[in-house]
Amino acid sequence: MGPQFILLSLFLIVSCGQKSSSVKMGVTTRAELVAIKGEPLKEEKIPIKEGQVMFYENDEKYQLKGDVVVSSFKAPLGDEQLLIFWKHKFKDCLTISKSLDKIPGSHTPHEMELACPESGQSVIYTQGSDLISRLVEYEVR
Amino acid sequence: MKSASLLIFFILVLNLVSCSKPTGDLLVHKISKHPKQESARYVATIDAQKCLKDVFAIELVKKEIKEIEDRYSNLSKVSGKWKHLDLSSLPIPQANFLKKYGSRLGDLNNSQAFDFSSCQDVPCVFNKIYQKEGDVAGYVHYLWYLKMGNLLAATNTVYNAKSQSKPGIYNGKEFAVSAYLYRENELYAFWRLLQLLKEPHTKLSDFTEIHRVPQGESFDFEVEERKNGGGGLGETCGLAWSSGYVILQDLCLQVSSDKDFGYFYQAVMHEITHQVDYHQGRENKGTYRSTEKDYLDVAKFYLKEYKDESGQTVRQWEHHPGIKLVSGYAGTSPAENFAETISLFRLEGTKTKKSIAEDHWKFVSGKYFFDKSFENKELMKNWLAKKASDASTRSFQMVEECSKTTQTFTSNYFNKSDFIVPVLPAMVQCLSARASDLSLEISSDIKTKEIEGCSILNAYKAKDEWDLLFKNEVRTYLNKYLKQLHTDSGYFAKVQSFMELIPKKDMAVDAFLSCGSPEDEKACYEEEVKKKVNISLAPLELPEAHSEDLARLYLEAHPFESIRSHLTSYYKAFVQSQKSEVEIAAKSLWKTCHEIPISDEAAPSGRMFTLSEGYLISSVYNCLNEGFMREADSLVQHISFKGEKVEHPKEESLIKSEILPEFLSSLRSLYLEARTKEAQGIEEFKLKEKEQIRKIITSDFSWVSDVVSEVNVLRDCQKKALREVNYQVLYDQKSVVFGTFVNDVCQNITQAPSYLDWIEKSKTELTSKSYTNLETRVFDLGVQEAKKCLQSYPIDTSLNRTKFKKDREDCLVNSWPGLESRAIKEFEADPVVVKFQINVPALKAKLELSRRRLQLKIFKEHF
Repeated sequence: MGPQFILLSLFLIVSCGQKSSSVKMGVTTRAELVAIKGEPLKEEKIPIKEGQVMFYENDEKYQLKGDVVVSSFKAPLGDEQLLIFWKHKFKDCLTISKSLDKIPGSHTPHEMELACPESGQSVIYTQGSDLISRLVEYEVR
Repeated sequence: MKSASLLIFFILVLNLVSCSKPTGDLLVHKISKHPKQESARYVATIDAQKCLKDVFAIELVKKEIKEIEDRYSNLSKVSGKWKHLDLSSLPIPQANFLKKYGSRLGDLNNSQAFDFSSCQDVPCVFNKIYQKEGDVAGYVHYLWYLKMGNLLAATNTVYNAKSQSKPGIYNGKEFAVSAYLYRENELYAFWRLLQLLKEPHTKLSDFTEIHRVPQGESFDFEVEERKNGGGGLGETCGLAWSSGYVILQDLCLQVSSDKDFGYFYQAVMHEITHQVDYHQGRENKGTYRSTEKDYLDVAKFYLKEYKDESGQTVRQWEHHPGIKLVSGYAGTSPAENFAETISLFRLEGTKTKKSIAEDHWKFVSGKYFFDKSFENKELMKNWLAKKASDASTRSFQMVEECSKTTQTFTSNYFNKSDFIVPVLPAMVQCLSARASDLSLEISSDIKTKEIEGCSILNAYKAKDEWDLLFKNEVRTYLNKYLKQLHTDSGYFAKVQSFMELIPKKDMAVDAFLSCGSPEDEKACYEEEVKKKVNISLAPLELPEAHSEDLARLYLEAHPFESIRSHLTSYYKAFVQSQKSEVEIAAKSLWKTCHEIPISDEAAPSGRMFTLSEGYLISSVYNCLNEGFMREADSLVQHISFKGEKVEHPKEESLIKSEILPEFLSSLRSLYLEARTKEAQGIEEFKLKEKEQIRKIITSDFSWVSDVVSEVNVLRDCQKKALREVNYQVLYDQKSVVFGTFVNDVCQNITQAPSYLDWIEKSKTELTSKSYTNLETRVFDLGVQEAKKCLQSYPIDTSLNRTKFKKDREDCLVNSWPGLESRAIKEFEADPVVVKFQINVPALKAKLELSRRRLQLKIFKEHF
């Protein structure tokens, strides 16, 4: 029993010792984000009160308001890139679909945002496209 | 044993024979006609003043069409009919064009608007729409389809136009089909653009149609914006959609009085380059090529994105320091930068070279133009390279001819000091005369075939520069051959047969097909060509330097890009002739995927078949994606040319790359057909079931979760109505197709008599329930108060229990009015109480009557 017990304990210690990698919008603090993701590649202020964005590898960005992470922007991976994937995921949600402000002077079609406010998730895609370009998570208010 | 050894030997020999497949078995050799000898001789009479625009004529366009259609001449015809036309009587591309786009021509409101009955080909069909018999218009439209694979539309529709209530209506006005067609100089410009567009611009499988906004009109969204006081930042003249459409208005189609100039070229190429962006992004399993890291790095963009105070998503492209832009517009976003830079790289090479950063310039040149560039000097070098093989062959012939001729010539193009070996004066004159003729021929050829030919070769300084470049080039060749003649009189006889081989593509084709991996395909191809040339020259026992020289000559005559383009055009033609097989395979997969149990449980997965609009139930979606490559592979194995299957692995791979977009297109057509049919069924269902669903909703209001808010009642009603819709929607989202329907069903639900009745009936029950809640609240507050009283007057001992009994009870009773008042205040503020106008005084009176009972209960339970 003895060695097996030690082995099991070790396993538990290892598994319990692994840090949770989930960042919770409206909850995770700056320090916690740095503990999870490491130091950012750069930080930039944004034109909102106490607002800044932290840039990470793989085009991940985290927006902070004061000391708290309030939203994140990530590149979708695998099937997450499919617009239909998100239409399926949001099918029981009261979704909101709206076009984002057009880049002044640009003549590519509008960027659209399909949001599920109750889950604090939205996806960005270009009108007419079958793929999304960004995954957005934000604090549910 | 002996017979076993013999058997093994025979087996080995058979294997050797089968492994070393003769190149005559290649599909491309079977389907292509015997390649025409590319004549080294030019037209006897040369008009050195003619430019590309001067030779633009129907006959020239017809010749281009024929060259392409000839690739299909050995392939199986397409069956079917388009109006009166038997498709099997048409060249394959024309038949396929009518199959794909036949319903998208002319007046989309009236298929009889134009009389095509006298037409025997596609150009005629277009010319009927233009109402100009035998015009170049029809040929340009068709040639566009042949070279680009998409439709230069001649129809009264503009993709995604909000103001288009029906075809022919735009910006609130009605337009004839003619308003959507192209002017003469615009048609020339499209044709001229075709002369310069190469891969990747000509290999965009998702790029489907180009539409024109009626002449004289702005885009409807711009008109709308101006009406609302917006705009003013410069008018948009073109839009490119990732679903494969480009729309253009007059400003993008401006051609100058000199037809070779005008904003047209930059504008249209810019829009097509957006399609390249979408296509390559998708190929790389992303969205846009221009937002991939490597491009963002060289173009120096990054994205600032955040949620603003109101929760709106803001996305802004920012520049890294040191960004260099080819134009102001290129600074708008990576997508615009990509489209602007690549189009101007081709059209204004000199300006682009000076404007953008070196690493950006190298990126564009390497990835989009085969390491070439287009400044004037580079264009001249490109032309020299293009003509090198020809010039070299002609120089070879000149030296041979002039070494034997007795004819006298007078020319001072060269003098004897131009040559490195002694040359007799008569031969100098002969070479001079021939070289001078060649210079004229090639200049004329460039002016009438290269789009910048005239603009450069007619310009004073540039012309001198070119003349000198060409003269030096020819002199180099002449000197090489003169030297050979000087040292080896038999050289010409030896090399003659190889020189005649140079225009033939066979070795180049074999070299290309023996290269597998696309990463180093070009290097492999060049290596293989050299090997094959060396094998071919081996019997001549030439010095290594000469063999290398001849190999280089052959390679210059057959550069990698041009052989690849030549071959893929044949495989494309082959696959186009097999479209019916592709459609059968698509229908089979479609059917199979509809025969498995229908479910939307699993998440959609897979990128081979995707959708931008609508929806597809996940069991079918996933099945199509799972089966896609399997079916495509099966098609490659199954299709054949005159009963013979394709066996060469590289040919299989090239054919597969042509099959994939066709297979996808067939599946998408099936989806659209099914979706349209379903939409009709849905409309019938709506008409039939609206009343019934309203009845169900109004018969039982247990679906109402919040009676206070009308908005929430409506939302609950819509949810309930949607649940009651028992139509299984496969090809769209139920909430989308029934969105308006459930709105209609739930209209004025809170005014419905049955709802008001329900509210009234619910009032009594609600009042009773509310009183119970109020009494419970008072009791709970009483218990809290009792616990406080116990702190002052404990029951920890029998003595204390007895001693403080009256005090305890008084403590609670004295605080009772306060806690009762608090509970009532809370109660009065309850939205339900407010909504249902519950009689609070009556309940207060009832509470007073219950007061003593509640106090006694607390005494019993806690004191």
